Amino acid sequence: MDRQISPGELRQLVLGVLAHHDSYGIEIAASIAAQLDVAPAGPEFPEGSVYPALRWLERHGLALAHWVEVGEGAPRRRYYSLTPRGRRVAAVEGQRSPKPHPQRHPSASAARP
Amino acid sequence: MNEPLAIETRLAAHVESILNGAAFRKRERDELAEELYGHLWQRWQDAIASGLDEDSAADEAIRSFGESARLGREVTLAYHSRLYASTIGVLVPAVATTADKPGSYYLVWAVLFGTFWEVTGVLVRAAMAWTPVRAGIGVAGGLLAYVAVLIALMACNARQRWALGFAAFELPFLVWWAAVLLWSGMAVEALGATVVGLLAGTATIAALAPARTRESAQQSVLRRIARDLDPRGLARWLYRRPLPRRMLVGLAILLILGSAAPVVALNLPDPTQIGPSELQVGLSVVCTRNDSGELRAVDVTASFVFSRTDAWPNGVMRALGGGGPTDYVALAVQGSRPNGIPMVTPQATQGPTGRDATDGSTLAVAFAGGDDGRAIWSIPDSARLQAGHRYEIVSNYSVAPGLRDVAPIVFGYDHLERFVLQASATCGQTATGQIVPRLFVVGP
Repeated sequence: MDRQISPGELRQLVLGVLAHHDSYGIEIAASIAAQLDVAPAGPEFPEGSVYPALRWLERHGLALAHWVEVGEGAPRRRYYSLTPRGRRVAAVEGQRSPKPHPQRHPSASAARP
Repeated sequence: MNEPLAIETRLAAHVESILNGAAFRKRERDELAEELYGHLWQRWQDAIASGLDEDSAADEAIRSFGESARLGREVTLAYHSRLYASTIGVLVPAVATTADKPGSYYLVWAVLFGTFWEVTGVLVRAAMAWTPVRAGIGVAGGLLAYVAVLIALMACNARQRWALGFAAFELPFLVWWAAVLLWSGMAVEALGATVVGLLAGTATIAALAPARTRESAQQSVLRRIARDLDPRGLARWLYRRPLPRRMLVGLAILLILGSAAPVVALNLPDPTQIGPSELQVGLSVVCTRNDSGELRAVDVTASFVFSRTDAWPNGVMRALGGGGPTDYVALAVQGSRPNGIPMVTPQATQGPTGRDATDGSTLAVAFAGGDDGRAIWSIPDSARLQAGHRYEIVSNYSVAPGLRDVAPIVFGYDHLERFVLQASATCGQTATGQIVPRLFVVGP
């Protein structure tokens, strides 16, 4: 991949990840990096880009979010799940543009539990 | 090495630099700031766990998170400019690769596209052939309507359900813009634009429907097209994503204002064009008699003086075509001939001849036609007309013997079919042109 991912494409990818399971920012970013087969810190996919995409989905009624405490001293995590409408959209988008099965890139580190 | 607290401040500062330009509610801002900070903190911890020192780990976390300016822009797009985000930003890339649009989609598309072409026609017409102020208003209106139609087209392409309603709202405007084209003398373009838009949509439906309904190959093509056009297919295909009501009202106003503008423009006075008060028309009739009082000759001098000239009276197209900014093409002036004088012949009449009485140069005047008692002349080189110059058109009539008087001679000047000034005089009289509703309301 030699170009920056667009916000539209990223929203689709986020939608695809959330269609499989509820998740939070770092985990979603890592999953997308694996799908794109890029390092999560690469210039084509800055990890922070997932948050505008997540907020966009949330604002358009495709995703819901709730905070989860993870342990003392660590910041809370904001978990996202798809709404029924988000699932329908994800299903349609999934049929239209099949995504590769998520595959962990060696450098795509998962978040700590 | 920095203290952990200082590093956490660095991480928070990076979050702040991302959110700095975006304006949204405090609660949303605080939550997003916490979320972004949590990500950076986690990555910082990951990097430390992988063996980096705290400073380098913070650098790595910030680097992998992304440049603050870019993220700031993305955050702004996610929270604001919903129209942009919902019509352009998200689904266009996906739609570009899809082939599953139902046939009824193209009906909507045809309506929008037909209007799009019609607006284009009016835009071109206004820009090229209308007077400057009218062209400006017409083009501005056309562009407003353009924006509304374009947004609806893109929204429809991006599967926004509101575009369906907007297309229905736009149906009358399809007719309206065709009427505007017709009214502004573009019958062919009006027909062409409407037909192109509608045919393009219909042809696409006909071309794609059989392929889309391949599973029912035993059905006739017409039946498959009809099935493809089932509006329920469109309802399933479109997303239920409402446009904010204010935005929808804004788009509707945009379309209404834009559609009204060309018609308003054509009825507005254009200050770059002259009015009747800025043109003086005069008529002088000098009769020569013999000793017994019979007429021998009648010399008619019609004059006109512009206090200013029109700017591009026939539009940019004519001006660029070599006419110059004051080109009137062939200005027509009309005059009646004296009673009893034989039809205009070289023997009976000298002239008309034209001249610029201000600088003494010749003004070409051409006989453009006439009927019984009336002659029409034209000024082919009207681009040379200048404000403040007095132009004269002189005719010298030889009169048949026995005539003692002539009926009033009428001289009329019809300025680009915008207004008519007319003067009437008989032997020994001079007259000034008065505005009349049409030429020769008095006289022969």
